[in-house]
This record gives sequence, structure tokens and C-alpha cells, in this order.
Amino acid sequence: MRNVVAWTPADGATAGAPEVRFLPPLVRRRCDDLTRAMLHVANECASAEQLAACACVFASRHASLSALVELLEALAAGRALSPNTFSHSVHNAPAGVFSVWAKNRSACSSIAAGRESFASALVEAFCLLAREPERDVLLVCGDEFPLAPLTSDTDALAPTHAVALLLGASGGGTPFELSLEAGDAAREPGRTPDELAFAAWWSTGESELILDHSPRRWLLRR
Amino acid sequence: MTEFRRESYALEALGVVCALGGDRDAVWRGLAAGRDDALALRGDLVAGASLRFGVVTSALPEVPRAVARHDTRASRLALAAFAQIEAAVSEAVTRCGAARVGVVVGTSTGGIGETEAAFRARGADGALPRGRNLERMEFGGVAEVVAHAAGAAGPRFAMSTACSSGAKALASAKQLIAGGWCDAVIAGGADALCGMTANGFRTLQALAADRTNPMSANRDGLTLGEGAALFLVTREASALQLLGTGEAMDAHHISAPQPEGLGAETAMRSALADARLAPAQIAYLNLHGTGTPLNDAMESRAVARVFGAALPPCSSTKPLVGHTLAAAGALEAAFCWLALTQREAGRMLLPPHLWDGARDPALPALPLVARGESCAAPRPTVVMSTSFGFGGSNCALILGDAR
Repeated sequence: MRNVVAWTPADGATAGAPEVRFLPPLVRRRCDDLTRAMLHVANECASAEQLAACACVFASRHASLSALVELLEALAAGRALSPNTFSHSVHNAPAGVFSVWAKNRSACSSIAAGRESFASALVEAFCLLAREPERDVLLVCGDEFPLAPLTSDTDALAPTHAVALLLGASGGGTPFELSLEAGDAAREPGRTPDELAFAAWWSTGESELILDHSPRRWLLRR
Repeated sequence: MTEFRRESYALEALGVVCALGGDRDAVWRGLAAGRDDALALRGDLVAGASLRFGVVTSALPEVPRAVARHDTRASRLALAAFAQIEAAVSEAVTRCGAARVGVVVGTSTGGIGETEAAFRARGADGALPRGRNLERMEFGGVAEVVAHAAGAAGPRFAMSTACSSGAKALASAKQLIAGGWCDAVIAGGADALCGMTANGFRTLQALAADRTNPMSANRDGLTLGEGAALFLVTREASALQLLGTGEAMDAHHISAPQPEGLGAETAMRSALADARLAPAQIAYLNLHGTGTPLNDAMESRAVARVFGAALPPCSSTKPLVGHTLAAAGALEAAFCWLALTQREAGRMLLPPHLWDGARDPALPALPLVARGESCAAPRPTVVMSTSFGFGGSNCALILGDAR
């Protein structure tokens, strides 16, 4: 593991975004909170040279909810959609903005798997490392706090956040062991998204992390 | 670390549903005949316009109660494809163990269409009509529904890289097996028509006034469609193989492709290198061929550079079924699989390229397939399919006989 960077809004706020002053103003203005948070952690996680050369895995459970809600409201009201918002509403919009900014032409995935989005992105990243051990993999995972009216019924109201990992295999071996096991949750599934639980775990130095998703769980061990 | 095996993998079974029909036979009959009547006029998807769409009209299965929170048209389309490979999947689950069977489904709309309906049906207080709307909209829901139906307990996720999703799902499936995570993967794509994509492409002025007309001087945009294609990818030696995959980003623009097709070219060359094949060995190329001015310009340039004097017969099948977005990469691989499977006496009937025949003098001329055209296809024969998406995501697949 080369580096892990997490971002959440200051002072316990649920929404917001980092300033991303490294982005050109025109690009910055068009970015929603999720893209800003994802590019912020990517930029903090690795050098420009590393970011231009790495393979990339982006992951998000819901993609840009702010863009999607804006489009859904416009559709419901019979208004024309904004071309810019539509372009930025696709799940891989942060990956696209990243590749343009970082001048990265490598393979780039954009993954969603409900509560297991982060774990699935880890699997994809480990596969990329196995395929090409000399190329580092940037993994960026995050979500936006849902806007009304989507807030009313969700089971996971996490604040807007993003986490970036720069994974390397040089020297042999993955940075930690990852396995998927059958098993009921030992405790109530937390409301903390896995990627934030991972960032906290990595900084503590504890040996094991269990991501419970009954009837199965992901086991991380270093 | 698990050693990465550079092998090809069997495309052991295929399920497919699109505007041409709800099973392999109906879809192949439509492809072989070059049916031009499958795109239907719909006035309800784009405000104030009646346009052609590739609508699925066959009956779709219901979503099981246990995963009813992901009951969406995209899930039902995926289940319609899954039903056709259920026996092979069941055999694979028994053979490999449920934990060794994964699912990767490309989707770009998830449950957006259902959420549109919920937004239209809001009460006076602004609340949505029923619970769990956010979960139903999730991109990962389709993969969860397929995993549930299959009894698969390995990794399962959605690949959502816009129009390259279905092709990239197959590339990920190959990696999951090569990287030691799975012995079998159900992989493909599923997308349903909805107001979001119809009006979104409309606002980008990317929708054709009538049937899409790829590579023509008169091309004016794409025709949208819906559908699903799911393969069972395994280590088995039999059947047709996924021989190579190649991917690259444009790093150019969020929605417009790189004008010279540099990312598309890299993806095609990477797939050839992955399969250890030369361009001249490709017997047929299924184009992305959306019919937008920008895509066809960059794609024809990239294809001309990669294949040079060895251009294979090419066709875009989007005039037959529409652009099915995240399903397109898998659906077009499915068309290649069907053409290879239906070979007779060393000849392969090719899916035709329906257009007005007006070549664009600004573009390199590609040998576009006419109705009824076939090519020599002795074993081993290999073909390529390309997919390029928003965000500058490019993916090429090579499939054919084991070599």
C-alpha cells in the first residue's frame, strides 16, 4: 500500500465538497460534489506522475445523486435537461474527469455494488495488480449525501465522502489479504460506508477488518 | 499473490434479448435477415418528439420477491437473458461451488426509469410514493438480482462506464477468473429505455431524426434501444472463447470522443496483443457505429489505422436494434457469438450494416457488410467487437474459436 487518503465534510456536516483548486476553473465549476471529493483524495494520494501512469478503479454506490436529482426534477417538470448535467450524471463521470485532468489513458473501471461497492472495487484492483504487477492501481470510492426527496427512505445516510488508495504490488504480494466468506453478521451492519471503515482501520494498524454484509462478509488481514 | 493466468476463456452459454426478439433463435433470424422493422416509433420518451427506439416487446420474467427492492425493467431484461443460460449456470454452480461463481453486469441506467415514475407521482408534500426509491435506483441492483437467480455467491458488481460497460464487464469477468477469484462468471450488460437517457441524448443533439445511419455522409445521430446479453464465462475448453480484451481511456473530454480515435485505436491494439493476433486475422469487425458525426469519424480513422490494408468486413448493428448503451458491448459480442455459432460449410453469414449507402468522403472507406453477405470462416475464425463510451472509455473484445 502506497497511500490512503479520506475526505469527509468538516464539523460533522453531511454535504459539501473540497475546493479542488488544482483543477482548471472551467472544469471545477462543472464538477458536482462527488467528483470534487473523488478528485481531491486522488490528488492528495499520489504524485502527478503516479496519477498519469496508474490503472484506475472508481467505485460509488449511487454515483452523482445531485446530478441525477436535478435531471429527475427537470424530467418530472417537463423541462429540458442540461447537457452538462447529463454528461456529468453518468456513473463514470468522475473517472472521465479524472482521466482528462491527470492525462491518464490506462484502463479505468467504474463499479457499483450496493453496500459492497468498495469491496468489489478492491477485487477489481487486485485483479489489475495481478495482471500487471509493475503498474500501481488507484482506487477511488465515494458517495454523495442524498438530496431530497431521495433522503426519506434510504438505509444508509452517509455524509458526502471519498477515499483514495494507491495500491502497488512491487516487491511481490498485495498490500493485504482480502477474502470473501459466508457468514451472518456478528453485529448490526454499521452505517459507516466500508471505504471509511477501511481508511480508519488502515490508520490504526489493527491486523484485521471485517466488512459484514450478511449472509456474507469480506475479511481484510495484514 | 495469485498468479495471473494469460489464457482465453470459454463463452460457454449465451442469453440475449433485444428489439429483434427474446431469445437466441429470434435474434439470429432478425440479424441474418437484416430486419429493418424492429425499431418502433415512440412519442412518450422525448418531450414533443416521436422518434424510433429499439424496444423489447417479448415477455419479461418477474423479479423474485427476495430481491424485489431491485425490481426494475433493467433487472427484468437481465433475467430474460439469464433464463436462457440457467441450465448451464446451474451446472457451473454445482461443478465449481457457489462461492466460485461471480456476476458482472454492465448497466448505465439501473432503476432510473422507475425513479422517474416515482418523481412524477409525488404527493403534495413532495414525498415519493413508496419506500426504498434510492435502493431501487442503484446501479448494483441488476447484478444482485442475477446473482440471486443464479445462486452465485462470488463477487458481484455492476460495471458502469456508460456505453463501454457491457464490453468491460466481459473484460472484468476474464480478470476475475485469471486473478483466481472465480471459476465461472455470469457477465454481460442490461439497460432499459428511460426518459433520462432519451432526453439526455436529445439535449446533446445526439438523437437521429429517424433510423440511425452510421458511417453515412447524412448521419445525424443515434437511435436508442434496450436489451440484455449475458454470457457464462468459464475455464472450460469447449465452445467459443473470449480470446482477448483491450481497454484505454481517451483522456480528452467528458462526453466527446478524441477526434482521431487514439483511445479506440489503443483499445483495439491492446486486444490484439492480448489475444496474440495480427489485424489480418480478424474475420469480421462489429463496429461501435453509433451514427453520431463525432463517433463515426473517429472510429473509422482508428479502424483504418489499426487494420491498414487488411480491413475486415465491418458492420454496425445499431440500425437493427438501437444503441442499447451499457448492454451494447455485450449485445454486440452476442451477435458475434451467434454468427460464429451459425457457421455452415466454412462460411459465416454476417450481420448487415443498414444505411443509406451515402459514403462520407471525409472518412476512410470501410468495407460495410451488405444484407446476405458472408465470409470464409474456417476454424479457427476470430472476430472483434468495439465499444466506446462517455468519459472517453474504450474497450475492444476478440472472440472466436479456441486456438
